Amino acid sequence: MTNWNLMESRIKELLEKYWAGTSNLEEEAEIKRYFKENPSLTSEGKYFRKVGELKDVPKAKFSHPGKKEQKSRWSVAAAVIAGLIAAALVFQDAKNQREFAVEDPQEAYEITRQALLMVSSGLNEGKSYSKEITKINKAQEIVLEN
Amino acid sequence: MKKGIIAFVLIIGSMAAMAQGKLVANYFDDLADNEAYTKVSVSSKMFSLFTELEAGSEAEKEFLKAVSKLKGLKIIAADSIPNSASMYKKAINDVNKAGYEELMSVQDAEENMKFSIKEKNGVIEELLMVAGGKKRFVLLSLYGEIDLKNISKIAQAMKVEGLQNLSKLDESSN
Repeated sequence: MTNWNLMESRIKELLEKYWAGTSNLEEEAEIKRYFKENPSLTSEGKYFRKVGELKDVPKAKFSHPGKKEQKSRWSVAAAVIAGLIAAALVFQDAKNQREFAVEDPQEAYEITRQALLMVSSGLNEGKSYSKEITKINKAQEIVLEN
Repeated sequence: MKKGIIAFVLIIGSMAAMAQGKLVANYFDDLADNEAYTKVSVSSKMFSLFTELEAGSEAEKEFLKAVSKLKGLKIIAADSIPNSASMYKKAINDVNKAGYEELMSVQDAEENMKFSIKEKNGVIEELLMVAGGKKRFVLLSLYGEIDLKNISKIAQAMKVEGLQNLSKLDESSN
């Protein structure tokens, strides 16, 4: 048996294992190497040469052609949802404003005047309390010093 | 993606714009059907109408000055509710949760009062007042650009005018 015949029978054996799905990586590399070194026009030869070439192809970033469209669909959906939320918030606020809004300027003036007077009196009351507390604290300090 | 970002920015922007007076607005919703509470909202449009008025007295001058930079006023008030104490507690709790900064609180035998603010870049954008008495409850929100000094002058000016009127009354009775 010549070397060539030995090689052929070895490849046959490896191919059987390959198609049965029981070959290991080393054996697969051996098959690819064989077909690379011995160009064969058989379909198996073409197949393994192609498989062998695949490994040499630089890794490219995979981008699905439909992904771009999907992405823009998501952003449109997000924009629509965001717009709806914003519109709902604006509508709710406007509803609130409308429902209890004072339409008569005279009435609005009087309400605002009363409200500001109430706030103003409250602020002054707080201020006078803080002044009294400061006075008490100062008096205490003087007593303690003496 | 860009559209998403723009929409997100729009949402945040509109939410920030509506955040002022939002706490009281939530109470408007909750108490919408409760007639024991008076609910009032004064818009910035009304405030702009006031600024066209001519101030007669010192108190009015201070009032119009304070109003000129306001954007809104919202009030919820009740004079005779049995649960005023719990409403006061709830409102104080909500104010704290909403991140308002306490300005001052006054407590006496008759009523508790708390002032809180929301400040941005040294400007007070909202002033909240919560008051609770035996049967009384008030939640008030003033928003826009708030000048506390100016607001506190209103009561002082009115007090002076009141005293002047009293002295006039005394003079006329003699």
